[in-house]
Amino acid sequence: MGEYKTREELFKYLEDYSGNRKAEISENKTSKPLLKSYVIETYRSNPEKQLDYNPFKDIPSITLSHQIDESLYKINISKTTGYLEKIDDRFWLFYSLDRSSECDVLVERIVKQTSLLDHLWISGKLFNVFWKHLLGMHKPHRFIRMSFEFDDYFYPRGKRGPEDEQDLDDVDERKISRIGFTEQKDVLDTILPRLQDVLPSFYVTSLLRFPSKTGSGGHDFYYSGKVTNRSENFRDHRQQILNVCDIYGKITQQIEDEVWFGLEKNTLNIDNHYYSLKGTPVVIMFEQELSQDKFDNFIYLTFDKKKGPFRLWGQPIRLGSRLVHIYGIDMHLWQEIYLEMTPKQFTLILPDGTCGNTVHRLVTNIQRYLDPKIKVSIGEKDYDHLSVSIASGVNFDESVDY
Amino acid sequence: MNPSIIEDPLFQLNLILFASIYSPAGARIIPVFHRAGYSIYKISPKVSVPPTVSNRLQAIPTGVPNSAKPEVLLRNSQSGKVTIVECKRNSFSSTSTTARQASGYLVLTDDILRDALAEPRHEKWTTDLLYFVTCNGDNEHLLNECLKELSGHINDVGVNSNPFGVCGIEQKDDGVYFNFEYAPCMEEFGVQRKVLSTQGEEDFRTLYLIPADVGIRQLDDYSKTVITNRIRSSFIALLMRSLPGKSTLVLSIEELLQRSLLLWDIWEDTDTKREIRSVAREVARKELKSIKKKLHIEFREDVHSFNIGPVEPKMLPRLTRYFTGGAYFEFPGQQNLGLDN
Repeated sequence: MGEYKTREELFKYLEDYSGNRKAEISENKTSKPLLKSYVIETYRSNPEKQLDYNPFKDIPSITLSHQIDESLYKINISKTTGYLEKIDDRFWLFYSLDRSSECDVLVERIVKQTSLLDHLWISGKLFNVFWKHLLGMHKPHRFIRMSFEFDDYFYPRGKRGPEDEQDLDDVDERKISRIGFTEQKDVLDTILPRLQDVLPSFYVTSLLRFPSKTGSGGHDFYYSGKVTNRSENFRDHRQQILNVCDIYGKITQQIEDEVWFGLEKNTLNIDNHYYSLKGTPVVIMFEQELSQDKFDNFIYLTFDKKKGPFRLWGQPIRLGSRLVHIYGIDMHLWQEIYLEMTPKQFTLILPDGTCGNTVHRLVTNIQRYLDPKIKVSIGEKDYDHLSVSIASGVNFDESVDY
Repeated sequence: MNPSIIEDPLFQLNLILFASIYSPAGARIIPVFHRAGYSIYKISPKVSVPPTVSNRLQAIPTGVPNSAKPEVLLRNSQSGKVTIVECKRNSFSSTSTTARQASGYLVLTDDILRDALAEPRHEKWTTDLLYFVTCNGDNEHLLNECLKELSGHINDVGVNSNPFGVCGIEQKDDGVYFNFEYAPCMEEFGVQRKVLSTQGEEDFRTLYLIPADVGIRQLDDYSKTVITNRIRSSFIALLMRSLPGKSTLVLSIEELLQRSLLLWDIWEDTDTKREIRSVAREVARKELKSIKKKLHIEFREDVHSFNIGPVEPKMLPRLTRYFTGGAYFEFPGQQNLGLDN
């Protein structure tokens, strides 16, 4: 990317770049990588401080080489260049024209370096909300791409019998399902519930293409907040991301309002005061109990071996083979989290101030690595219903804001 | 199964709290109070008994304390009734110091409790008192008789007393139950309600929302572990969230304990408090020991706080690896199945 002095210059360049790549896609040959935008969530432990705070400026590997306007920066990371745009107090966008193999790793590294940043975590459940929205927005013949991924990471492996009793089927393996296809919208709408009935992995959407509102192609939203522009229009690309951020932000705020757990002190006089309890647990229930082996493996790998995707830390208090308590930390954001885990349900207590993004991330990772079919309660509200009702209040069809 | 768990007032208190907040159908906890319209109104409120009442009660055998601090107040959203809740391992005699405490709860009736909590006078309050006690032999019956006797003494001097009840906590093969046989003030619950499903676990307790109670001096092993783990987690979280920093970071032990133990600042038992403060200091010291050479750390005994000198951003990955063991960060992360390239 070159030097751009104004937002208009940069966006014009990205618009032209997107148009050129789309033309190349139509001819089945791309000379350069597609534009990718990464949504990065910032933790707002102190919203007042956050107003003009740039969480990227303290990351050693990032150089803010040029500030274009009050919310747009050019940055250098390693040998690559990209642009950072502050969307609001909660979200930033990182635009990159590098290959995915390079910028995926780069963004991952940035997020891991600070407790102030996290990915956007779009669970299969949340993708379902966006999918329902798309159904009402486009004509039936529009093509939509969807991918699904389930990695049975905690499936107990290596539990083989003595060597002389092993047969050829007794091998160390686990299931990783990955499938993606492009279909017309009304066809997908018909077959998706049937596929989900047959194979629960179809509940774990990992990619959903939002069709462009201005032409062919669309925007590939990945579960961790990456969005690839496969349309000719950068402004439509950005606008669709902003719509998703609006919904995601409102859901997250609602989660925080419901679950933040703590005591509120009320003083009657100098000597007398009382406390009110606020907040409710998040309860995640598995449709079918996890097998004892899988449950054990989850606890062992996540907390004893400190491995795997969850990045939760704490000393497991094993009250029995089927009941484990953790008073630990969510290491994405270095915040306390208390967990009760059984093969049937996980109960989470999030102390006051914990970012609601923790819930999205846990739901995403549980669906992706433990069990695709779960029911999530945010206090008295069902996570699905909460998301649908908030999403229905956001107008996806609003005109493109440049 | 371990029968001593249901006798533990801290288990009882946390079970009552969970029974009063929402849990979905099919969950381990059955929120019987929440479903009947009750919610947690206040925790450990210290309320004064008005002098006009306490003066008249000087004559009764137990006397009445100047103030009372019940464990929990539940409020029913439908009827508006406020229920004073107290947990006990066993029954007690009408001449014990616990009976004096009970007399204090019995006289906090309706508008007296409302005024003591500084609630608006235009509200008409109704109150009752519910004791939780382990179902063991005659516990419920004996406690009920005791409360009857105490109420009689109070009424004899012309003072009203709260309707009262005794709820037994009983452990069965499939779970923990609340018995309402001796709790006529909670008649909407019938005789018995299951409140916690168990599957033969030796230890079936819930998470402890409150890991240590204001009035409890002796903590069991679980509570001690919870306190240590919560202090450790809060310490590391507070530290790591504050870094990097260009100025000296002050981590106060009091702030740490307030964050991790919730009721810390109204805890009255100074001996236990001192003991836990020392646990917190040791936990923090232990965590800081191995990184002491890399950071400038000073413990100030006079104000019970750690001063941690400025920390460069480049130190963060090293600290993260130290606290976590590092294996977490080896997970490949977001390797998307994409078509980008």
